[in-house]
Amino acid sequence: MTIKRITFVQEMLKFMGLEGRLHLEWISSAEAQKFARVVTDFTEKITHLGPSPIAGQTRSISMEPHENKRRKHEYHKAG
Amino acid sequence: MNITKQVEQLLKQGDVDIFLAYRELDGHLIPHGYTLDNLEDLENLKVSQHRYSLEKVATHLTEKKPNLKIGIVARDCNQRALNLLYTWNQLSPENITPLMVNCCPSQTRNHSDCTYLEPKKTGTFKQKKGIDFNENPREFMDNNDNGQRFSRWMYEFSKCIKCYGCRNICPVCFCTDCSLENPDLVEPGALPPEIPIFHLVRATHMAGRCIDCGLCEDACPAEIPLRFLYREMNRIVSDVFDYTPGAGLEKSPFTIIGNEVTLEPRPMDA
Repeated sequence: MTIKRITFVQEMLKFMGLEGRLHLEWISSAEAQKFARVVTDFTEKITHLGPSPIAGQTRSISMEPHENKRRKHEYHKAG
Repeated sequence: MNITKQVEQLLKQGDVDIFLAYRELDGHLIPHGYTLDNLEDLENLKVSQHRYSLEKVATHLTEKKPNLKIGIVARDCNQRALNLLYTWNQLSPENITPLMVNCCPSQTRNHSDCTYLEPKKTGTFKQKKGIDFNENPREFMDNNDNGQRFSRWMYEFSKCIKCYGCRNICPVCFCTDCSLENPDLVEPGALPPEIPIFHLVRATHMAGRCIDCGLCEDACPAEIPLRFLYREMNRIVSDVFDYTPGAGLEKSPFTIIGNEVTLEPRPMDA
């Protein structure tokens, strides 16, 4: 089931133009070498792809920063 | 028998307590509930190419009065939405009487009588920068590389004014707590909302649920090609989970609790 959900997200990211940045692998606690290999490979792959295009874009135009903070705080209290 | 007579009969026989359809007001068709107390109202009943998610109204009415018998004028998209709402226990089929009318081209019917008869027009600027409403998702994938796809979607999403129109019109959006309104997940008072996450959250929630009525795209004041997006989400759901929302009365398998799987993990292509 996890694999189906991850496949869905992989396909969705591909459609969005963010292909290859999500990987799923089964590694047991006894497979230290596999873990090291997978993480090294994936790190290499991501380094090759470069920084995520979303990084730095997500901060949007907001209202006065302090006002925002206060609002958030109020919500926390309310919730 | 014309639809007015049919509705009159349904009301008089007590088959339905209220019939949801449209009436004309200042040249516009608006949703309206016809009841036995206002039978003379029925002469205003009109069916045209205008659409509204009447089943959403039915869901809200049922929330207040669970045993209310509701008649509804339905096209194929309404019928799919009703199926989905039955599946998720938002409406019960015993209380709903749909009266079918002509609809847009669909897999199950050939009649056409709705806003999608004429495809949405896409301007030249949008065609260059954004995503054509009428494009085929497969061709979109073939004609644009990773970076192009990304910048096109970011262009579309950045237009969002977070009006929640897509969610409000959506016949299958019925959650009492919408995660897109949670102040911890979506910062209040910031525009555009955090992109592309805001839209991808909704896209994920639509997967296995969207019945492709296209009302979200019609409602969107920023002209974001939402139908195009959700259609592709459902293509994935259909491929991965073998499920088509609204076609029958089974629940979407795309949930937290899963079933047995035969897929293999994807190899990492470095």
